[in-house]
Amino acid sequence: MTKKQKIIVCLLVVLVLFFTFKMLLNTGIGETAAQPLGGKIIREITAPFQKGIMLITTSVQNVFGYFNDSKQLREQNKIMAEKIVRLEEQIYDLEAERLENQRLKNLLQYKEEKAENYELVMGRVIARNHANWYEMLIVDQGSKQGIAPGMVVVNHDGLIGRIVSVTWNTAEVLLILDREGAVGARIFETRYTPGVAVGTSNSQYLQMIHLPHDLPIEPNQTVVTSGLGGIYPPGIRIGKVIEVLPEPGGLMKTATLKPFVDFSRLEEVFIIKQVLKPEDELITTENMESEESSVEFGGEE
Amino acid sequence: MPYYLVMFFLTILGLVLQSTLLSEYTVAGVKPDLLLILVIFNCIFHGPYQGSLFGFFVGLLEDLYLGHFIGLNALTKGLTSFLGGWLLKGAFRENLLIPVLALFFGTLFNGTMVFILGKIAGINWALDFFYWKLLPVAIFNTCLVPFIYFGYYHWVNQDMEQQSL
Repeated sequence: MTKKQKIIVCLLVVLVLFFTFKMLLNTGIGETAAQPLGGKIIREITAPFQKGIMLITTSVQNVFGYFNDSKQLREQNKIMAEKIVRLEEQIYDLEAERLENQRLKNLLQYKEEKAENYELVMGRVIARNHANWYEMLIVDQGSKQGIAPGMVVVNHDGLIGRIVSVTWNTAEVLLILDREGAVGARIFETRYTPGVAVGTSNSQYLQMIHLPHDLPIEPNQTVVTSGLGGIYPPGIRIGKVIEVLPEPGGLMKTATLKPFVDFSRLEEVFIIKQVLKPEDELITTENMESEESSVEFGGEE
Repeated sequence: MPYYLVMFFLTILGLVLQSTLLSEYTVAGVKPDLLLILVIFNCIFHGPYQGSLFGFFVGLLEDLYLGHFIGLNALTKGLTSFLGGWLLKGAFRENLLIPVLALFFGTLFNGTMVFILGKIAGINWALDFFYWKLLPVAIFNTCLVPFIYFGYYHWVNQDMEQQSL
C-alpha cells in the first residue's frame, strides 16, 4: 500500500467514524425518525427465525412448566391441607364457644327468671357415672360453697336430680334417671298428682307406674314435681308423657316420660341452695293441706 | 463457504438467539453478548484491521436491528476489536487463556466505551451500570469461551489451510 493509499484509507476511516458518531447522536430513543432501511431488512430477515425459536422455547417452557406447576401444586396442596386443619380447629373452638355461650345464656335467663323463687348456685359438671350402678354426676361445687346433701339440681330445661354427697369442692348428684332418684310428680295440665316418676334401667326415660286405670293422662302432657316427699320443690318441669300403656291385669296403667333435660349433654347445672318461694305455691299449699304436713325443701334426707 | 459469509450468518444467528432464547434464560439479569464473542474471536485470528472492520459491521448490524443510537455498537465493537487485535498480535492462540482474558477485558472495555458514548449521546445510565450490567456480562461471556472457542479455533484453522492450498 502506497503512502497515498494509506492517507485515503485513513481519511475514509475518519469520515466513516465521524458519520457514525453523528448518526449515533441523531438516533437516540427520544428521536422519532423512522427505522433505517437496513434495520427494517434485518428485522424482516430475523423475524421468522425469532418466531420459530420463541415457539420452541415456549413449548419447552410449557413442558418443564407442567412438572414445575405439578410440584408447586403439591406444595400448595400441603400448605392448604395444613391451613384447613388449622381452620377446622378454629371452627371447632368457635363452635364450642358458641354452644357454651348459648348454654350460659339459657342458664342466665333461667337464673334471672327464677331469682324470686330460688337462690341458685351454678356448678360445672366435672365427671359422670363413675360406677355402672348409679346414674350420677359430679359437679365442682362443694361444702365450701355452701352445698349440702339433699339440695336439688336443675337447669333451664328442668329437673336433673339431687345432691347425695359433698366434699369440700365437689358434690355428687343422683340423677332422676336413677331408680333411687324417684320424684313426686304431678300432671301440669290437670293438676292430678298420680305418684312418682322413677328411672328405668339403662334408659334415658322415666316411668310413672301403678296409675289408676281411670286417671286422665295422655301423651304430650307435661309432668312437673309435686313437692310431696319433701325433697323437690313443687312445679319444676320433669318431662313429657310420650306413651301410656295398661299394666297386665288391666287395673293399672304405666306412663313413660321423656325428661326435658338432655342428660347426655349436661355441662353446667344449677344447685338450688335455698327455696325462696315455690314455683307452684297454690297446689303445694293444697297438697300440703291435704297431707296435713309441712315440707322442708333442700334439707338433709 | 467463505469465512465472512459464515460469520455473517453466525451474526444473524447471534442476534436472533439474543433476542429470543437468551432473553428467556438470563443469569443475574443479564445475557451473554454473542456478537461481541464473535467479534473478539475474529480479531484474535485476523488482527486489528480485519477485526475492527468486522467488528464495526457487526455492531452496525446490531444497531440497525435495534433501531436507535445507530453507531453505538458499531463504534465500540470496532474499537474493541481493533485494540484486541492489536494487543493480541502474535499471541499464542492455542492457549485457552488468551480468548478467556480477551473476552473478559474486551467485554469490560467494550462496555466502558458503550457507557461513555451512551452518556455523550444522552443515555441516562448510572454508575451502577458497571456492577450490575457490565461485570456480570463479562463473567458470562468468559464462561462461554471454553464451550465455543475450540470449535471456532478448528474451523478457522481448517479454513486458513484451505485458503493457503
